[in-house]
Amino acid sequence: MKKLFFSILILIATLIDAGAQSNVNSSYFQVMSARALGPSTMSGRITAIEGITADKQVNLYVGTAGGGIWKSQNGGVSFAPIFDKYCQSIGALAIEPGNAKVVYAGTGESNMRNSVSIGVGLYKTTDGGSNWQKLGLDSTEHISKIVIDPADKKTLYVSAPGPLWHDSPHRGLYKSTDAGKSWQKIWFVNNQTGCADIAIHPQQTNVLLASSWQFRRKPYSFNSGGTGSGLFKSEDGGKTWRKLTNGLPDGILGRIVISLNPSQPNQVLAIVEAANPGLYISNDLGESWKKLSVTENITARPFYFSTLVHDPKDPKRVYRPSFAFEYSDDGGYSWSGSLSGGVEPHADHHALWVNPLQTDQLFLGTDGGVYVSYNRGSSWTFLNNLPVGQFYHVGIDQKTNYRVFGGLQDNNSWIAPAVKPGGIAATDWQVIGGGDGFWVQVSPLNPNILYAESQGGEMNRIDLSTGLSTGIRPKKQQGDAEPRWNWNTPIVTGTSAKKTTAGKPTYNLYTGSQYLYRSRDEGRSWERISPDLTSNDSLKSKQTENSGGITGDNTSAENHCTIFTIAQRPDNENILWVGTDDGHLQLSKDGGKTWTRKDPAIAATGVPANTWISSITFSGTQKERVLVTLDNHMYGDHATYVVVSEDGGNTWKRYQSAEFSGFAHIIVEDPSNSNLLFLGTEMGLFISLDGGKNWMRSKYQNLPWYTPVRDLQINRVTNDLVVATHGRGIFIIDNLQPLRELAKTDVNTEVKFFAPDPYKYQLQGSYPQSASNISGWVAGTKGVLPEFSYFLKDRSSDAVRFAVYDVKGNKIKDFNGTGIKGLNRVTWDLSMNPPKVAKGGFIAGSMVLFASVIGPRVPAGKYRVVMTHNKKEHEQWITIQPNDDAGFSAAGLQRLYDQSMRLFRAEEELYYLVDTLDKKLAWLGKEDSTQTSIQQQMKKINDLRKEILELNRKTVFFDEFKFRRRLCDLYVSVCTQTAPLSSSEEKGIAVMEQELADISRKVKALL
Amino acid sequence: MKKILLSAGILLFSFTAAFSQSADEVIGKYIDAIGGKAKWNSLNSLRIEGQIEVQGITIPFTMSALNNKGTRMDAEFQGMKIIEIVTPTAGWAMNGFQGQSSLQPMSEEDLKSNADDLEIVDQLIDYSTKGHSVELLGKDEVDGNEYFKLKLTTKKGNEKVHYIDTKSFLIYKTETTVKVNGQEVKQEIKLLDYQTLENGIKMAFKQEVGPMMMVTKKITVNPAIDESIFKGN
Repeated sequence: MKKLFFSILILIATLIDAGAQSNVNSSYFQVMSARALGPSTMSGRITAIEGITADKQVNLYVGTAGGGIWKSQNGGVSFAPIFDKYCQSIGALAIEPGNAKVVYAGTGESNMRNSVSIGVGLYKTTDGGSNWQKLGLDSTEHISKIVIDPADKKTLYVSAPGPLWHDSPHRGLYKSTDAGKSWQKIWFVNNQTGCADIAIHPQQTNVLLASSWQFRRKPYSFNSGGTGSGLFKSEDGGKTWRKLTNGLPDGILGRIVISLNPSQPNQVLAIVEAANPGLYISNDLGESWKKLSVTENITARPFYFSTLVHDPKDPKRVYRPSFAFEYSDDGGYSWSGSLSGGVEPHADHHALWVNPLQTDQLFLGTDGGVYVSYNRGSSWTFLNNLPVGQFYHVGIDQKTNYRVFGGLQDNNSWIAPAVKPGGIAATDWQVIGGGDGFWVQVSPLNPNILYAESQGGEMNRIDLSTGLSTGIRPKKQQGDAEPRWNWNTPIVTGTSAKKTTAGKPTYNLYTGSQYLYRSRDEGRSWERISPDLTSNDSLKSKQTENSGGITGDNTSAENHCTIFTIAQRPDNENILWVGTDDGHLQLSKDGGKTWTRKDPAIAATGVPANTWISSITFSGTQKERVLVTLDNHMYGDHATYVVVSEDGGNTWKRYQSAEFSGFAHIIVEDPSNSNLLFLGTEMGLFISLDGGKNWMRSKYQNLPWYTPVRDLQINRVTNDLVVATHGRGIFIIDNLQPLRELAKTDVNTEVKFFAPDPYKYQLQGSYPQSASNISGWVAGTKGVLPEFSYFLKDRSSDAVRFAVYDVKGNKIKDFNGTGIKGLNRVTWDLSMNPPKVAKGGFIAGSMVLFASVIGPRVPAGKYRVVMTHNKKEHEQWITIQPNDDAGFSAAGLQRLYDQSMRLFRAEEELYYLVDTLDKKLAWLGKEDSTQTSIQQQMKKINDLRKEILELNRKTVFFDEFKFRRRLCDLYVSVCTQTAPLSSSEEKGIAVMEQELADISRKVKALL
Repeated sequence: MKKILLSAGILLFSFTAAFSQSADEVIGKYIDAIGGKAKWNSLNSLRIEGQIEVQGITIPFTMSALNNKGTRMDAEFQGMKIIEIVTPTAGWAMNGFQGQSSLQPMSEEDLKSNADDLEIVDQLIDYSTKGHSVELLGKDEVDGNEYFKLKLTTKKGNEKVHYIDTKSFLIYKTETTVKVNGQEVKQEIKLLDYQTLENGIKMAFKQEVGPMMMVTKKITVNPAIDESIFKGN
């Protein structure tokens, strides 16, 4: 037995080892770090804000719907993300009283809209967010509040509404008495009812008020309310609970929000969702209640607006952030929302923190970011520094200098450049459509024509040349059923071989309700090219009219039995694929005349029938290959479903991986290397280098590990991967070429220096740039300089060095590379090593200093690059090509180089001349200084030094122009030119050379 | 068969888990890896000569340290001097790049954050008798490799997190958190190219800070150092 066990152990050890060998993870290409484009000018949904003053600074922790947690240590002036290795949907935060470093974070927000993400439990940090530990409650999926007992910081309560899409016992109220180490579910109603809110008495901390909430979403309906809902009280720290009814509405209740007045704790306010909803006040700690008059804002959308906050000090001041921001000065009896100056906060509020040390100071979390007020909410200013927008889709131009477009949850459709001097600032993002934004498409033939959408299939054609926008949604035609448009209706373009009657090229534009429509004239006219492609199940399709439960809520978010995704093969416009939200995958090979369902064959791979088709994409190299993602989370199934067919949809294979998590949104195959696959799910970006056999989570590309990835695009010209996240905006991984190389590399190779592609001369543009004081979040700019990629099997224990040689074998440049495991990438700025510059005097902040760090740029030609790793040399050649289109001709580059080198040589000659003088001085200094001849000689040398060098300069604010400074000015100016000097200007160099010759004569005369 | 494999696999993993190490075990192995306590404790002074390399530019420097009495760093580029002197009671600095041409006294905050440099014997050796405290933050993945994360809080209240290689037990990376105006700023140094000195202790000969590499050319163990070099003015 022992022997058997031992052999199995060895077997497993080798298996694990073998696994580890092939199991390349994303650290192998961490050099391919994504640029985060934002935007921050339109931020995203904020779900929790907690603050505390420490070291005289207001520390803020901000939780978001899909962008993790952000921390500010300066009252919101700047933020940094601190939760990038974990689930990005945040439901609640709590800071331990008196300790700014101890923070609890409940994942899974509880603003139960259709697009809400899902949490994975509770976390804690004890060092202000550098490190987090998981505390459990893994299956609660949604956490609405974390309350710490003010008398005992080890006692905590966590309210969990629990799963939105399925029955679950993992909901209710949880309690810990050991600072989160262990948890007990202390209150549970039933599998459909969770705990929505909890409040603790600030002094009698055994007294708790909590609300239970029965709710459920289905793909086609939402229900808030049920017999499980109610308001409850405990007077023994949650052991026993008593339902409160006196004065509260009869009948079925929905979501209830509670706020206990901290400076008068017997007084409680509650917003009660009921057939006749209202705001209720109790002056006896919940025993009896009285209804107050309200505005519509108080009782609006209970499932979405559940924030009610008393001022920490003023017993009469109450805040109701909801659809709009309102406040009361009489304890809740009357409300106002009037603003004076500033900006109106974005609608839809979910979080408010009132600084208890400075109660005029308010931080408000909305669907569009954080706003701050310094006058109790009378006027607001926007914090333009949180790039947490939630994109549904992204579109791009297929060209070098491309733009990105996309729609944000609740926040319009946007356009921004992907490449811009100085990087992409918040101010570079511009609105091109209203409403909740979804798909944005660009005309393949006219970059000024865009198509943008808002919820429920509203769509517009925007002409950027005129700024005009026209509605183009297909109208119901004779004989059609009432069209059903998905919340997130697809609109996509497709190539076409057809020409207009005038002989001009055309393209196809598609959209879909339950029917598929095609337009060949930019959406001016539409042709219905399919029957109802959905199940047309009336049970599902008609529910939307009754959606909401107690409080009706019909915003098209529950429209069902609709087309969700459309794809036309680029090489054959007759081949059309359509996926519906009720699980039909339909194929037409005749441009829409006939349709065949292909989803039944998918079921054979283990994907449940009727699973929502979330995307359909094609291969760039394999004609019959189709890739499909499916999403069943609305039935409580979070599995990652991705399938591929190699035979045009007749049979399917499922991609599976232990790495996967989150329901799948999108898969794309690299157009040139079909082994390279990218998959976006609700819980991250996954990459395969071997055609889907093995997958890895992207952890090292500057994306949060569990970021919800909704859409992916590859720019076929630049080979960039564009990632649309639902919580952190757009990311771009520039140039996938090294990843393609890695996909072809044996990772057991010790070291490999990849042959660099020929490089077309280019320099980073500088202008126009955004004004830096209003730029908000700025994405790094795209590098344009030549890069050398190399692979190391293991982390290098020593520096990896690079040297560049010209064709004559002269070493012209040294620099160090990185030494990390896997792919490394180092940039050469096309410059040579700097010249030796004459020493002497104070040169800080002067051109003399710059001259000593700037080398001339090399001309076009071939260069040998030698990489030294572990004392071994590896070499490659790179060809630097001229780029006439960009203004860099071979002759021009050569001439600029020649001019730079003349000055380079002048710099070095001056260095040696001054050095000679210095040495002579030092030598004379050792001689008998009483001799007059020695004194005279030293004086002559010093006088000459003063003639050459700026020796009177003592501060950076004092410029002195001696020969060295003038030479350095010219040298730096020529080296940083983008074009050579003209013949007349070049004469300036000769003037300088002449002066140098004079100096040289004077120096020699003194020796 | 699959089932047996699976259960054996689970066994194997719980087996490994049982071997999770305490902070002191990790520190013990680290100290062994760098040459052992005895050799380190015989260290009284150090002189390190080398150069800072960045984009083809080199800046030579010399660092002289007398254990717990003083450290002094001298660097020069194009005639501009950078000097930093730290003693237990005062410190001075001069940064020619910023236009300073004479030594300026260090602020309390800077003195505190530089105070750890006075200990030339590795801080983790006898850390508790020196008044430092440690906490093992578990393992973490950095650059695709696994490291122990060891948090060291020094007597002066400086915090640093060492990433200790789970195989070689050498420090790969140190993160320090410095407070500036009540706000934390993180700094990161990677330690590379460990070499054994004449007295048997092991030190990193290269330190990477962002794009900058500090390259050590020569280390002299227990050189005679004149204490007067630690006087700022």
